[in-house]
This record gives sequence, C-alpha cells and structure tokens, in this order.
Amino acid sequence: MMALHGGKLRSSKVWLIGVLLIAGLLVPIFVQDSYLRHLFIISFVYGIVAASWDLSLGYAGIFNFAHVAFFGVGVYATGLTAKLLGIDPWAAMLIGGVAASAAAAIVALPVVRLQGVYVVLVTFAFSQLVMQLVINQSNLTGGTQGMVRVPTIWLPGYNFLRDYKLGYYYVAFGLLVTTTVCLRWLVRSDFGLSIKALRDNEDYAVSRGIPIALQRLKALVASAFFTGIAGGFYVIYLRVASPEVFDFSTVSLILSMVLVGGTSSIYGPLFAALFLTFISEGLASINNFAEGRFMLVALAMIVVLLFFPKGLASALPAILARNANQKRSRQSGTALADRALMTSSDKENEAEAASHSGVR
Amino acid sequence: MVEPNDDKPLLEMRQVTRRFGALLALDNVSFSVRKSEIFGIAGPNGSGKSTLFNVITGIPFPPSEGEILLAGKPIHRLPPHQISRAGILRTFQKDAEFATLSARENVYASAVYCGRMTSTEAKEAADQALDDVSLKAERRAKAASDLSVFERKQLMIASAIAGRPKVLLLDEPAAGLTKPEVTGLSDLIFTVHRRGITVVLIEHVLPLLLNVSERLMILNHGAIIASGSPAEVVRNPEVVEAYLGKREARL
Ligand SMILES: Nc1ncnc2c1ncn2[C@@H]1O[C@H](COP(=O)(O)OP(=O)(O)O)[C@@H](O)[C@H]1O
Ligand SMILES: [Mg+2]
Repeated sequence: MMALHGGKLRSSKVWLIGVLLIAGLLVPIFVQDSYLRHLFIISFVYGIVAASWDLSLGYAGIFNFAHVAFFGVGVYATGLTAKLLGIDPWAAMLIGGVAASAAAAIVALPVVRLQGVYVVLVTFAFSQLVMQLVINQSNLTGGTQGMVRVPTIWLPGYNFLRDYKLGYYYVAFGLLVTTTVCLRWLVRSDFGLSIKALRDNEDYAVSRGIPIALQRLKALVASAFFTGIAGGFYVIYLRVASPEVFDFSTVSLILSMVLVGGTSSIYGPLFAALFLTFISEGLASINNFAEGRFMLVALAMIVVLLFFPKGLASALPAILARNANQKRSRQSGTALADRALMTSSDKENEAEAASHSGVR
Repeated sequence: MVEPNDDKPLLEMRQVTRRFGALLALDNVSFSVRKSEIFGIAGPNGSGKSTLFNVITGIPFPPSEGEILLAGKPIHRLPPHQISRAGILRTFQKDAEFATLSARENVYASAVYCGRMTSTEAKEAADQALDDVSLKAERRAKAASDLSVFERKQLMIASAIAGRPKVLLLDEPAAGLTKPEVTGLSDLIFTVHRRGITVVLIEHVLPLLLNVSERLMILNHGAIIASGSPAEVVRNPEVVEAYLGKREARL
C-alpha cells in the first residue's frame, strides 16, 4: 500500500500470478484422472487453511495453535447443519465459516491478553476441548466413528457427484483464489499494517494508538473465517467427517506447510501447502507408508528451514529481483543492488532478521 | 513568558504513586506541565523517570494511586491506546520502531491510528512529518531496522508528530548520539515545539536538557526534590548532592 514497488519486480509478480491462474483453470482439461483431481482439491483446501493461518500466526504474530481446530469447527458446523437441520449445503459452508469465527472470538477473549507460550497452551487446550466435545456428542457427530452421508452441494442441472470431480475442482479453486485475494487485500490494508506493527513492537504500537486486543481479535476471527469455510467445503466434498481433523499430526502437517512456505507472505504457505499435499498424499497411497509420510514431511521441513530459516517465500523475492536485475544490467549495463528493488513488504522477513542482529 | 493560559495546566499529576512490591518507584508525585512549554526531567538512574512516563501513558502499567489529568480531564483509567489518542504520545528509552515496516509506514500507522486520519490525509501527514524532521526521501522506503541511529531518532519524532499529539514525552532521546547529532536532536525538539506541541523531556545529557527546557524537575528515589527554572535547579544544594554529586567524575 505504502510501499514503492520496483516496477520490474512487480510486473514479474503479476505475470507469475496470471500464468498460475490460467494454469489452475486449465488443469482439469489435462488432468482427467479423478484421483489426481482429488489431490488437487485437497491441496486447495490445505492451501486455504495454511494461507489463512499465516494471517494470525505470521502477520499478527499470535502463536495460535487452534487454527486447525477452527477448521474442524467449520467441518462439523457445516456437516451438522446440512445433515441434521437440512440447511442448503452452500449456505451450510458459510455457516462453517461463521462458526469458526465465533469459536475464534471465544478463544480470543483470553488469548489477546496473553503472550508467547501461554497463547500456545490456551489455544492447544481449546483444540483438545473441541475434539472431546465432538467425540462425546456421538449421537450427533458420530463420535470417533465420524459423521457419514453428509448432503452435498448442487447447482440447477448439474450433479457434482458425476463428472469426475470437475465441479468440485472449480469450487475448490474458486474458494482458494477468493481467499487469497481477500487475505492479500487484508494484509496490505491499514488493518494489516496495524497487526504487523503489533507483532513488531507491542508497546510502541499501543503508544501510537493501535488497540492491541481489538486488532488481535479481528486477526483471529478473520483468519478462522477462511479456514472454517474450507472446513465446510471439505465435509461437503468428502461427505464424511471424522475427529481426525483435530489430530496433532494434522496440526503439525499444516504447520510445516506454513513454516516451509515462510510466514508473512500468504503465497508462501499457500504454495507449500499445494506442494506438500501432493507429496504427503502421494506417499500415503503407497502401501505401509501411511505413517512414514509424516516423517518425510518433517524431514523436508528441517532441510528447508536449515537453508531458508524464514521459509521458501523469503528466497523468492531475491530470486525474482536478481532476474530483473540481470535483464536490466544487460540493457543498461548498470547493476542495481538486489535490495534496492525490493519493497518493504517483500523484505519483511529479511528486515526482521536484520533487526535482531541490528547494532544500536 | 507569562501567557494567559499559564495557570491552566495541560498535563497534571496529583499524588501519583507507583509501587513494585515493596519498592516505591514513584512516591506521591504532583506537578503540572503548562501548555506549549518544554518541561525537563532529570534524576539519577532508577529514580523513577521512565516509570513516570509509563504511568502517564498506561504503557505498560497505570499508577497504583493518584490522578492524571489532560486538559482537566482524568485519563488514568483509560485504556492505553485511548490515552495515546487523547493526545499523549511517548517515545521509549530503548529504541522503538516497527522494524519490518518502512519508515514511511511507521509514520503513516501513527497518523491513521493515533491521529485518526483517513488514508489520504495520513499519507500527506506522514510525508509532511518526514519533511519536518528532514529524513532523506530516498531513505523513507527502507525498513526501519535498516536506518542509522540518528535516522531512527528522526523517525521517532516524525511518527510522534504525525499522531497529532498535544503532549510529547521524550525518554532520553539523546542516548547513543554523537555531539553534532545531539545538536541536531535539539533542533528536532524545537521543531516539534514550534508546531504547538508541549514537550516533556527526560534527559541524561545535561547540556541538551539545560539548553531546551523552560522548567526543570529533579526526581530522586521516586520523589521530586527540586523544580523551577534550570538556573535555579542546578544551584539547589540537594540536587547537587543527589544527582550531580554522584556524577562529578563524569562532568
Ligand atoms: N516493571 C518493573 N518491575 C519492577 N520494578 C521496576 C519496574 N520498572 C521499574 N522498576 C524499578 O523502579 C525504579 C525506577 O525505575 P525507572 O523508572 O526505570 O528509573 P529511571 O528511568 O529514572 O532510570 C527502579 O528501581 C526500577 O528497578
Ligand atoms: Mg529510564
């Protein structure tokens, strides 16, 4: 918003996004296999969960470990309202988002005033609480057996259950794109600036009129809304729900997506999620390897974070800038420093590192 | 020097006390700051100067007892961000900035959230404030953490101006500056002052403090031991003993 964009860097970014959008629209034409399409759909769902987690975890700096539980709240709120109350599944997906936001608001009450490890503790305890609730209310939720035969979405004259998941693919893709646009808009707005400010220096932010509790609440509620909708879509698509969504292995898988991708970028966690879903689901389909995949994903995370402690997203601006640079220097014979091309927001990760080692 | 509204204090402390367990960091402190003055505060380390700014702004804690009024209205029960918005902006003894935001974004955020401006107004106010402190245009898109020590002081003042304060509280702003930079800083303080902003200045660098302050107050062990014009205060024997005496070696 305030940043002065390096023209070259921005235009290569716009190009990249355009190409990816078109590629995303064309995938089903080339990918006819329904299992492969299924992997795309699941990866889009994880992409939404990971990218929206970045809002509360990366931008607002809240150690929110309830994000996957908010996803679960979306799953069950949508599943239950669609199945037991007979609410239209499209509307039920929205209810999933609203329910997840409501859950986030409840968690926010204690969390906005706590710090660091206490936030982890409270949000983690909340996740366990929701899971126990789902398991205990087995006559509604199916308990550990899960919920089955959830009604699915429909459109006039179109049956989602035929067509080798083509319809689901586009709904998932549409949700992913919409979520990404909303999240990017949010983090570049004044609100986004205020939560980054709070993350950077809480006392200083308050001294400049930024209300801590309110901004944290908003960040949690917004971030939960998108993951709740994703949960709603997930249950409508799979037509079953199980308390496995609350498992620690799910949490760690998605957390590794966020960290490998790199926080405070939205795109980083999103693409890491797409990529890691294919790897982990692919591995899961190999016999006897269902559990080994978590180890492999963990290993991948360690390796990536060893070389890019701020995640892969932190490497991308530098690479793009270098390319733009080489072109420019070929044209004009002058090389500009990589850093000069980067905008402040692209450099966030780097600046953060610098501030810790900064000399007063 | 005598102005018609001199008798109406802008910022007033009434019997303000702050305890940390058994420690009395502020002991029944009462004083007032007049509109448009530069009010200096000095005292040995640990005498409660920063604690005073903390309880005035509520960041990070309010007073244990007593009242604080801004333009006659009590503010000590407001949430801290409301105190900032009411017109009291502070800086911190330890450098503070939004490290990952650009210098311009740092100032803009203050204009939006403290000055309550629209986006367009805030952009203008941010550029104006950065002009006022003469932060070089090409440095403004830099992340705050990439700025030099003096540039960060400029940024600190610019972000304060952009928040449209009535009172600016500066906590040892000269810390870490070279002599010529201290001169630059006193110019910055006068710039703020010319904008009609009342300044309360805590400072260890005595030449700066004596040069800019119209009135001076000395704290020791959380209590006021002297106040008045700088000339009067530095002659006060109690001050010489409590404050200057200990620093003789350095002076
Ligand atoms: N948060 C706190 N908890 C406990 N003691 C504190 C706290 N803040 C300040 N103090 C104590 O209060 C006294 C005054 O501190 P301070 O206001 O920082 O002094 P000054 O700024 O004048 O050097 C010191 O003895 C300090 O140790
Ligand atoms: Mg101090």
